[in-house]
Amino acid sequence: MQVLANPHRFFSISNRILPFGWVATALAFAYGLYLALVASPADYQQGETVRIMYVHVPSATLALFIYVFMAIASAMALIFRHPLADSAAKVAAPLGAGFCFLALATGSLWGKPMWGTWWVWDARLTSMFVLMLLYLGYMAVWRAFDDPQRAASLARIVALVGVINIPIVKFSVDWWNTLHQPASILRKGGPAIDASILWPLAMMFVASGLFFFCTHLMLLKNEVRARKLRAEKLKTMDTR
Amino acid sequence: MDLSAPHLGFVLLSYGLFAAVLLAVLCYAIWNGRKLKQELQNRNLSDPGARPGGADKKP
Repeated sequence: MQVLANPHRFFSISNRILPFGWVATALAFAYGLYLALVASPADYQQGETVRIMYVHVPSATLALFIYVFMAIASAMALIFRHPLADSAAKVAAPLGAGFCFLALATGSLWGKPMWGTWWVWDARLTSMFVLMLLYLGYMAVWRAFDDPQRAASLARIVALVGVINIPIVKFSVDWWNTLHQPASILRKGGPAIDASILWPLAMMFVASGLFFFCTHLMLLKNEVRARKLRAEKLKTMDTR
Repeated sequence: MDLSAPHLGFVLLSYGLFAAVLLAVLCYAIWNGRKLKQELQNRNLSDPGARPGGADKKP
């Protein structure tokens, strides 16, 4: 990990990875969308609306995963003082918020025809809404301070305290009686859904994950550039 | 996919929203990268990823 602390080495590695990453993302999305929209069958009860699952579940899973990633990066910044760890967490937040918004919006679009309502304050939906607020709060902290060091210190705390919400989101459907269905993939006894639905779901998850990986690298490179500019601006202010 | 199925609008809206958000993020990342590179150039600074030989030009 310390290898990536050198900006030149980080840029050189990411520049080599990104073209392959984008090709893999495009191929994964093309195949995933084909499976999701064409090859997979309609559900015998839900009909065509089941296809919303192929964008809803990967978005929700990534929203959780990205927050855990931010918490790990914040812990690394706190313990090892890795120079890129805070930036990695900072640029992951808008991506996580985007996926969280997609999970909430597509869930709402799925809920209306299936449940007869856009929204209910059940444990899963509410904890997911809290996750969205945590993302927004984390991003607000970074914007609230002129001094990046102070912002980083507070942002680390928000990321580390907020991670307690992740098991609440995951197990909310087991701990409380919810309108949202219980877990059907990551559960004891293996996935409860048929392979014809599981494969498109897995492919869309891989595609969305690759998208996150590539955009995160791009945003991280931008953050390194922004840091260099900030440092230069401070230097010129000092010499005045 | 059955194009005459009920509630198909919800499915299309979900995929449209998914594509729109992902494209918006990608466009922002590209635009922001170009803007920062330009700003570095305007200040005679090298890109952090530039080869070590390409040192910053100081006026």
